[in-house]
Amino acid sequence: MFCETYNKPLTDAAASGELSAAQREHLASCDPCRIAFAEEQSLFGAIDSGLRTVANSEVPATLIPRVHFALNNEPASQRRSFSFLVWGFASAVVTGGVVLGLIHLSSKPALVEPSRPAPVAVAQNSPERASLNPTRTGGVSPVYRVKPVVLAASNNSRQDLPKVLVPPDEGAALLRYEKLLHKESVAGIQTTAKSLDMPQGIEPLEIAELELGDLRIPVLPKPALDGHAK
Amino acid sequence: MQEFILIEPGSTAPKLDEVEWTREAERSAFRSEFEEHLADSSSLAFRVARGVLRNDADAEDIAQEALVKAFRNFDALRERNRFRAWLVRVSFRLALDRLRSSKRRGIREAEWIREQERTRPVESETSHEFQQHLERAMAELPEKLRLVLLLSAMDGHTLEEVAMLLAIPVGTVKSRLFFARKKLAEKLRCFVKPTTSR
Repeated sequence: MFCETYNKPLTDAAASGELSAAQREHLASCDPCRIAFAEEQSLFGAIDSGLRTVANSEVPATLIPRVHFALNNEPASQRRSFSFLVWGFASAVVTGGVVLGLIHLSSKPALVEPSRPAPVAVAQNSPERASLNPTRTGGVSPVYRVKPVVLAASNNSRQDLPKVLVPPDEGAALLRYEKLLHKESVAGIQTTAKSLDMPQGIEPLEIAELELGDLRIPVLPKPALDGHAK
Repeated sequence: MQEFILIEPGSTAPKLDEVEWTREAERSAFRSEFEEHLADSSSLAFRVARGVLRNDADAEDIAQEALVKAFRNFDALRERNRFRAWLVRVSFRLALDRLRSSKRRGIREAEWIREQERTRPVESETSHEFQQHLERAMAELPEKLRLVLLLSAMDGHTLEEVAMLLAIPVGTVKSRLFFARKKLAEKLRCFVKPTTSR
């Protein structure tokens, strides 16, 4: 049993293994403390020994072969599915982008019919309104205006295409696919422009404002009354 | 680990043979680098798990699981210290999860007792009992203290290495070690015969 004054300091010293000079002096002069300190040291020695036994248990020889076996089986399927997902996603993005681009480009020539004169935006009170809506007769009617829209195709749409990350062996295929799509889209635009007798450069398109007239309901003639009605 | 290349629309396609060759070489280098880490650190994973579970079979399962996970994350763990630190954390966490699964607990305790009986070296009954008490007392310690105790007791680990493995300051390792040893001493004092020598 330690002296009352040295109980805690010497217990802590036994746990940490660090004795101060004052504690050493006390131990040299106090038999009960020296005995108690030796018991504490013995206890911690047993604990440390037991801890070493627990912490350094023998590693089974089967561990590394088991890990090898697991690695040889697992990652292949994981990689494959991961690669499939990434490639699928990249393909979807690229295809979607290209298809949208094609739709955007191919829809433009179709909007302009060559047989008609190009539509002109008309102001609300101009005299040309009558020709746009010949059935309309006097009166105030609401006019729904649509702002002219200018559509312009980008000639350098290739620059807008995103850069994509793909597995190395799939990069070549993607590039070939992209090249093929690009050729087809350019050829398609040129063919459409030729067939419409238009210059191959794409002009901006204007959409004239729309005007909606009054709804007129004709007065129906009264039906003739015959003898059955009497 | 999956590798990628950046493809820019309109660029020339790389040669497939070259790409395949590079990929294969990288895969081979990756695997051999991991093998080095595996040989170096598999015992660490096993011992951390064994310290928690007190059962060789369970600890081997956990070590295997942790090492396979390490392989999957190896791109971020190529630096040795980072790999070992990650492995310690994952092994410890997986072992605790396994320990907490209530279904297995009863079976494991029974297995542990049988295994202790079977593998017990020729030593005094007192020492064997003390070891059992010690392992039980360790199991009751808070997780942080237990892990520091385990790692500090492993061969060749200095306080600095333990600090590095746990990503904590050396001072924290010292204080945790101090409190852990004191707690164990409080629990085990009654099992040690008092010394009679003066």
